[in-house]
Amino acid sequence: MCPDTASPRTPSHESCLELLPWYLNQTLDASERLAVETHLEDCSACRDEVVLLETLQSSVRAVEPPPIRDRFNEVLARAASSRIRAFRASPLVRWLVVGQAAAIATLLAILLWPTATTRPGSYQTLSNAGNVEPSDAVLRVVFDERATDLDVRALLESIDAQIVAGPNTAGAYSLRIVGRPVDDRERTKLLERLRGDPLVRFAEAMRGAPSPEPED
Amino acid sequence: MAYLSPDPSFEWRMTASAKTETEQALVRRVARGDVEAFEAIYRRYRLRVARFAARLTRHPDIVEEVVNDTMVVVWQKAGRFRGRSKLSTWILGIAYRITLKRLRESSRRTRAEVELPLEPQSSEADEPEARLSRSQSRERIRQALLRLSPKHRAVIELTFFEELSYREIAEVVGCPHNTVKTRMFHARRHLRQVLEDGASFTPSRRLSDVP
Repeated sequence: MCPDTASPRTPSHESCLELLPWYLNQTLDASERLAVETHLEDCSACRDEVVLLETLQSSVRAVEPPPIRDRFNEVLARAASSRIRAFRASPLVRWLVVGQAAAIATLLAILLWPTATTRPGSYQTLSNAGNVEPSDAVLRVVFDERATDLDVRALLESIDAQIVAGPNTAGAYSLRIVGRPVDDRERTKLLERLRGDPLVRFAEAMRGAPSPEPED
Repeated sequence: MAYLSPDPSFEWRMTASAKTETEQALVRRVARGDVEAFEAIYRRYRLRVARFAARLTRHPDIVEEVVNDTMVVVWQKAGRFRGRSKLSTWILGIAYRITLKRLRESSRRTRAEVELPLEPQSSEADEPEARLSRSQSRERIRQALLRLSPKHRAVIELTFFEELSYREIAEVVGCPHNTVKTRMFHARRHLRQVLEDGASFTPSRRLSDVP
């Protein structure tokens, strides 16, 4: 056992003892390493401890990593959608959106004021904001401002949809479904799919195509 | 270490720049939304994070969740990585916090006790007796490690496998240097006792209450 001969120049047995794991993995700085090496020359207990730690080190290193499936595509999909959500949820973006909405509302109010006064009851909605919608359109969608053309194309292909009109002044596109009839049930499924997509800010059924009620 | 290399199937798809550029440059590209850079980091760290998480919790479903969640956080927070620490330290720190969170959740849900096998590597050249003695000693240590708390196992793993300094470990686990040394000291004392006794431990002697 080491006679714990601590002096102002040499660290104590206890402090050397606790540094031994990092002496072994060679990450101590030069002064710590020198102190430990000096101490080890005189301390058989610490030399025994080094032997124990070497056994521990080899045991730890002998363990293989567990088999893990490659899920990169899944991780990427989650990561990409989370970044869009985080962007939308950030306080700055919320303020910008609120500010932008207020500015647009003011502008619209100014522009529409003469028309509104001469034609009571006339107001802009997603459906009548500047476009004549074809009769085969079944859905109306507003895409996220961060969605690229490629994103939109991929999304439309995934549900066999085509843009048949838009964007209107509210930024809404009218979609039709190609190659199959769209009944209420199918429309419900399409709306759920679109509303669950981070690239879609808004989706609704066209007039005459009742929007499904949420299920209990 | 072989498992740190990217998957061979990925190698040919990586551009020369992704192979040679510094990790900090890779993270900067991830922060700009570069999918290739993100894939390069995923390939480099997937198994390393899995191994680290598996040493803290041996539930296979948690390990996979930790790997995936860690990589999602890397993508989200890449812009905040300033390069003051090594990329590995940053990523393992994320994995550490996610693993502890998952463990807290799983203890509330009481997962089924399906554990990952931890197969030791063996050398063909070993003599049978030496191999037996070494494997017995390793098995005892393995059992003793299982009795440690995840926080103690993390310090052991980061020291002897990841070969981090105690200062880097303090960054990963988010505690003072002295706490790292204290956890290591208690873990060592526990392991020495196991080897000297040659006896099994009772769960009541688990080191989960040591800081």
